[in-house]
Amino acid sequence: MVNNMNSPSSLSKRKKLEYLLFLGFCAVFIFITKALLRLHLNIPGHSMFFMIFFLMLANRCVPLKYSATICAILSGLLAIMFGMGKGGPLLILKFIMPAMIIDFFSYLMPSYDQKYWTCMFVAALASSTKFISSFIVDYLLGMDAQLIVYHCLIKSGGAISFGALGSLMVPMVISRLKAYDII
Amino acid sequence: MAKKISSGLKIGVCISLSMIAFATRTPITLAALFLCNVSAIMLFNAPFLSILKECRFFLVQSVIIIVLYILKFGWHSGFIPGLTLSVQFVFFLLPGIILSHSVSPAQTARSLSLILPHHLAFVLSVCIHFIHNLIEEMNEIYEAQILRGARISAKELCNPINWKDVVNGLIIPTIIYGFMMARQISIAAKAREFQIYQKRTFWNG
Repeated sequence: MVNNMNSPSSLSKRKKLEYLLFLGFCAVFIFITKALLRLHLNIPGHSMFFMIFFLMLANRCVPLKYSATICAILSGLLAIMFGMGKGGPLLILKFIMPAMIIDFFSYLMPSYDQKYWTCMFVAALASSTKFISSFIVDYLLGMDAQLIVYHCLIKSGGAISFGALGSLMVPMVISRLKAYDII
Repeated sequence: MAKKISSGLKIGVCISLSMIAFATRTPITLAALFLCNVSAIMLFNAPFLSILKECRFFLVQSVIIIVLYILKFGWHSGFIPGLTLSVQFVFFLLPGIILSHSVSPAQTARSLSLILPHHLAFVLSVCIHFIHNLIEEMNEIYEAQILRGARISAKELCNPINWKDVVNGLIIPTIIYGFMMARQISIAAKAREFQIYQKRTFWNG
């Protein structure tokens, strides 16, 4: 019953665990940066900067299916456990929706991380999901419909800008990690 | 006393203390929260000196937050809110450090596996326990890069030209460290026959 550590099956299990742990660390980085950026500087969406960066990094560094989504689930669980952000259990949606967009586009454009404009495009689309998550939260809070739209537009506008900026780091970091033979 | 407190209760208390940090904004409530954290350290028998040593990271963060507030709102209306927020931030992360010193990763995984699949519970418990290691390592990398002349101090980061140094000098080494740590933990877990059976097993040590 005891598997040899060097057998291919055990190696793939170990490698899978290694990747999962790295996704966990990316989730921790998202969690820490989200906590650090709770500065109340009245700039909507600034937490999207590091969130998009680490989700894209998880997606590009880990060759597992739905790697960004797994990372988002872990960071969402951490955020719920530590009571961060508004929205309670719905908070996990704010993490999962951008990650699903990133995972989806990684199948459509497998080499999107090599160009700045494709990174910005994917990041902008992923960040725009902030509109949906904010809409759900505001709707459940019972806000006026027109106000919800204005509020969500402002929020998602900020999120798209910061998400796109965050994605600009991805090509540089990925090329450096490839140069160091890390990925 | 500390052994009588269950790990689930310790996790619950630490998470609650961390959540309360967001609601505390007045000096009196912050002082009360400080006392609660000190009580938790004493009750859970966590090593006070190690926790104090790890809190060095918060000094750097506090300076950055206060400087940002002063730059945005000016000295008079920016200093006190910046200081309050940096103290809130300390109290937000401190329970996590207390938790990692008072509950073993196995106990955390066991408690989390009541609500999560075992593999995710293991990954999440490892991540919670290594938060302070990651922060400490980031802090060491930050200090080492400053000594090497990287322009990443709080004052120098006001200039956007220096932001590239943060990516090259801080973010990339931290990611590499994360990869290395993930590899080491996975090898250690494999050496302890992790994932050998479908049903979860554990050593009740």
